Amino acid sequence: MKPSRRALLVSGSAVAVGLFSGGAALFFRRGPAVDGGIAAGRVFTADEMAVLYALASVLLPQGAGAPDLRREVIAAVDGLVSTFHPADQAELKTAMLLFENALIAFVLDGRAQPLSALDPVAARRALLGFQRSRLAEVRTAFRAIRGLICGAWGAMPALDAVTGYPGPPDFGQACAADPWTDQPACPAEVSP
Amino acid sequence: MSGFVRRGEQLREDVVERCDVCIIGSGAGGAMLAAGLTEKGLDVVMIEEGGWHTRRDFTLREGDAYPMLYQDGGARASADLAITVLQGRSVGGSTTVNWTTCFRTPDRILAAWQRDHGIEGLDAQTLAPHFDAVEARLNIAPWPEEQANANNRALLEGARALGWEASALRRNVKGCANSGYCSMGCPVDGKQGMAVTTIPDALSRGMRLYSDVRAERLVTEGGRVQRVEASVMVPRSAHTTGVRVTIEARTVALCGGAINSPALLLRSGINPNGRVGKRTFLHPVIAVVGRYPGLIEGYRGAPQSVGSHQFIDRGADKIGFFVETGPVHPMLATLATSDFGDPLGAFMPQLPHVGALLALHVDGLLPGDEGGEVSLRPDGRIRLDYPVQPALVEAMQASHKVLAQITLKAGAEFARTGHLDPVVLRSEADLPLLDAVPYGAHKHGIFTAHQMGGCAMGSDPARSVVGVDHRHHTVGNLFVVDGSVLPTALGVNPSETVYALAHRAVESVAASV
Repeated sequence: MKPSRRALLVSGSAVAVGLFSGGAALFFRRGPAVDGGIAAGRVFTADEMAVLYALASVLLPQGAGAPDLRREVIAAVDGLVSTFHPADQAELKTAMLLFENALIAFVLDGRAQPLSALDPVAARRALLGFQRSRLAEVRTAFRAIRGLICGAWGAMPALDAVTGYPGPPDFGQACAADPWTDQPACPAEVSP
Repeated sequence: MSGFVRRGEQLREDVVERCDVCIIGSGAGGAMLAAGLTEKGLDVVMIEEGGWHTRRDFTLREGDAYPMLYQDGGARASADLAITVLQGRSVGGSTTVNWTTCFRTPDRILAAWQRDHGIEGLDAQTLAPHFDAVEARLNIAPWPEEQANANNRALLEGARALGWEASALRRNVKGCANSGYCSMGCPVDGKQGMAVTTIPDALSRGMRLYSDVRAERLVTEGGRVQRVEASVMVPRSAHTTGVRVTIEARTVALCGGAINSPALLLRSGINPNGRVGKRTFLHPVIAVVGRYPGLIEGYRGAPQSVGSHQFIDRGADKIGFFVETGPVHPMLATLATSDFGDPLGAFMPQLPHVGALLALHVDGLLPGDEGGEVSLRPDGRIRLDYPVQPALVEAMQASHKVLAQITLKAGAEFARTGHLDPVVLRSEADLPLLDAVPYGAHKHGIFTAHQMGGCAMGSDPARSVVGVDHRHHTVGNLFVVDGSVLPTALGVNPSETVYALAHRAVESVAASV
């Protein structure tokens, strides 16, 4: 059976496997430094959360008027990924390594630094390169990470003021009765 | 006799159930079937992988709704991630989160099924009483043009100004508040989805419903399903609790929908002719957004109430498409663009002025168009492959042009594609720009909200999975009643076809008990 691109992302091409085996150990011993530190999530280690933070720093708007939601976003990503199948979680971690691993970056686009060590302009250029890579596995990895981070950002209520989105109206539905289960009538009143 | 709902978190010990009919899945097929079978006095147990959620759970926030109400937390996709798959996962299935558009199955599709797949006895006349019945129960009726939101008005006016057909759609709503939040669960129970109509009908007649319970395997012996083995799920996740549910039923109705139903048959080793999972169709969707000078507020009002079938038939050698609209909430908007960083930040404040048009491509009708395939990964996870073939690439180029034309004619300042380097068109003079960019997988956004096929209905046991009566060709007490039986895509939103087929299947399923 022909392997899928997604499977290739996990198992890697011959080159990628070699790079991962050596490169991950050499270049990913610790995650990038984050001001104020960063804690492990439910799925991601502290180092992996730091890589996610670095990716969010490039993927999310940082210009004037954009609220800094990086910590909230990576927490939301961690929460969502915690519901995924363990194999899907492992694939995502592999995708993150693809971005942060300096040896892989050197092979792909000639830079010898992890993404988190690049200045904002160079980091954006690097991700644009991933987005447009001739390697399907790299494009797929970018798409997965971008979707999770930018999607979580787009869903943040804190963004409403920026986008002009009014947020949902309240129809009082939280207190609607459910005749088929034993849930209390109004969870808002009984939950701390 | 009243039935009950048991949620996964209530299930602490293994459960064994015995019944006349076990229904796996609670969406358009399963719920309609359950209502009919219980009306006949049959003892029904239903299991549903997703949760039991009522309007009290609907916060109408995308960050809550997608993980709660969609497959894979909203992250389901084709294996190469080129196609985002929006598919419901809760009691009610996709009917809890769909945009309510209803069509009867087009005559030309029924004719193609008869001609190409040997399906006899499914024509407009024989299906009419079933359509009549579901339309009455679900209050399916035209949504007045004058109530169209600005996004839908843009489609209506833009298409008509170009001389193209466009008309109001029919919706299954009653007391719709026009909130615009259909995709996140209806906060007022105005949407007549299964969770507020046929599921309560069946519960009131004694059905036992187990939510957060995933069917793992159908155990067969002697050409019959002996039992259904299922796992209790940690709510809103892909993890199991370790608690098991076993159902011993005289008849089993598989109603998990396209993708999940074929996957369960594959997990169960029920694939005698190798056709399970084959011919999976998606109505692959592309979007073009428009930036309008006035407010569009595509997040308000019925998200989809106008459609155009002007380009449904583009000739015998081309894939046709139809045009509809979609809601413009911030997370979906973020995912519809390829931007990131500050360009994304520049786009988002325009949200109230942004409209979105969708083109849905009708796969499975051209000779040789086999669509995609559902299979299993070695670790048992579901895998969906969908190669974007040249005919579809050609259609996507054509549909991008059509959507851009409508958007500009409707008064947008510019139309913008979902390409990696978006094409921005400010007038019809810019249309040739669309000839210079690539189309297909990973070239621009593609998604699907209509999954069909994978357990095709047909008269030839060598080429299909179930017969015209929905009975499996080789497993006598197994029926498949959901969108997976459709032998081609429909060219219209599929929910009403599934409702009607399930309504029709009640007789054959009941007769088997």
